[in-house]
Amino acid sequence: MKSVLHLIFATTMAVCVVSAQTQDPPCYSDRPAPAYYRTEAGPNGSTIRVVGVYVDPAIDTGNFAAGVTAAMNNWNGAHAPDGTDLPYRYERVSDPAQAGLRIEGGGENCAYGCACYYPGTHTIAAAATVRDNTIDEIAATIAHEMGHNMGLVNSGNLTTNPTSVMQGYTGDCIQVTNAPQPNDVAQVNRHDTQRATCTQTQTATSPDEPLPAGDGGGGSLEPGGGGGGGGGGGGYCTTWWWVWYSCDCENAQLRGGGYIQSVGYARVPAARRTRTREYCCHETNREYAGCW
Amino acid sequence: MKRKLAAITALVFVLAAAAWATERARNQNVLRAQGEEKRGTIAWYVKKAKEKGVRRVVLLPAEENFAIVSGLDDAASQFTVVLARPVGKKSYVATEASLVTWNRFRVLEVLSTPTAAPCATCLADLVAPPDVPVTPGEEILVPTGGGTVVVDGVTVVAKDKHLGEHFLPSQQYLLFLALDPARGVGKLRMGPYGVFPVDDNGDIRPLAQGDAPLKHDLEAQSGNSLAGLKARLRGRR
Repeated sequence: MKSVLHLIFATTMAVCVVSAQTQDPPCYSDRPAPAYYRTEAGPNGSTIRVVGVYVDPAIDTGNFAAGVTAAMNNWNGAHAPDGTDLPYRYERVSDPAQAGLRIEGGGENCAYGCACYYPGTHTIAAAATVRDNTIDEIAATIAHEMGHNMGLVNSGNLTTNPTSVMQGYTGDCIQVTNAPQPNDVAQVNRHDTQRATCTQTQTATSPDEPLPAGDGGGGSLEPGGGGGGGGGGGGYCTTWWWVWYSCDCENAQLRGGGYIQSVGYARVPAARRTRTREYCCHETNREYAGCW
Repeated sequence: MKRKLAAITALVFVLAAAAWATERARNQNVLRAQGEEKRGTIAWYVKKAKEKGVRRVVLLPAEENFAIVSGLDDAASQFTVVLARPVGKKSYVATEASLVTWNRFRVLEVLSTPTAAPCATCLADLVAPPDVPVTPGEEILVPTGGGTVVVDGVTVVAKDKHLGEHFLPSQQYLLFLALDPARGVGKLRMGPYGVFPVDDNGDIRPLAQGDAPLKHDLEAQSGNSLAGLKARLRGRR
């Protein structure tokens, strides 16, 4: 096992791109993709990132457990209008350290609805009202919140027209759209591959809010301090951060064709591989993802 | 006389100190319950801020899910329609990763009451903090996401993306609320889509950006005027 330090950064360039893609649901230009704990081969040579889902065992029973599984299956099996798949696959994990998404109770603390998503901790909170619903109703609510995990924003056009799982709910916390729609997958793919074209930011009305005079001191508040992060001090929302990964396997393409996976971070000998395909890594630490 | 004044001053001081200590303990308890700081939690941000000598951190706001309606009739059938003016607000640590602000409103007028309010259990779960007083019938308490609290000397800010800067005492609002009138607590289940600032001329203006059925109906059926809305709501009784 060897720890590898990666500097991950997202572009802060304000690139105005006119996109022909649909805008509904919108996506966040400054929300990272969900953290994955391993990868696997997808169709047509693609790589699928597997996102661990950890459900609080106290609520992972009965209808709610089945509803969460159904929500994961619905996203895993969804396709964009052009037939492309989701770049992620959600999979249950029993180790919270492997989770890129956590699901807990406590949705009663959500200010407006019966469920909400906390981006700082990648956690969905579901109220008892949601957990008492039918499997399909639970699946719809969880699928909506999972959309936030993948960078989607609430659908801007709040109607009963079910064009997106990111629409709202009616009555006893029942979503108007019961599963991810092709538009939703298209926007997740857009967030994954063309994030700069997403039209929304996570922060409130003023993303670059300086600290009041006298606060903050003179040190850089940017991620990594003097270690190569972006920008100067001052304290504001940033799209730069340091992430520590631990990688424990490597997938490589062999010269004679085919792939090999080397586990335990014993690198595939250079003579045998044409190029490194990817590493199996999981995040072990992160500093300053968020706003200061 | 002097002795009485000193006693009153001391009493006020003791009460203020007790209130401060209670509030501090409440916030600390929410944070302490999580044990070791988990990345992205308030405790984690506060710890990082203190390590860096920073006294203010801004959290990412929670993603909320909003109730939707098919129009004015649907909204009025589900929610209490209230004209109210904010008279105070106080923020708390709600969870390990979120803040909540309880807004106190003085009810100016109840325009209509629901005929079929859904999700009775949703309101049963809504419990206001004990140190925010409310007079049911005259006032209501309504939570909104985010707020500002001080934790361990660090100011923690989370801005509600839609309502963070609103609910100022200088403004009256038309609210579509899931309301428990007996306890005087309500929930804005439609979020910003159920909040409409009303100016001194009685003109209603929408808060939420973009199109929405309720917003459309208020314009089409009441001309975005309070008088027009009252007439419209009287007509449906």
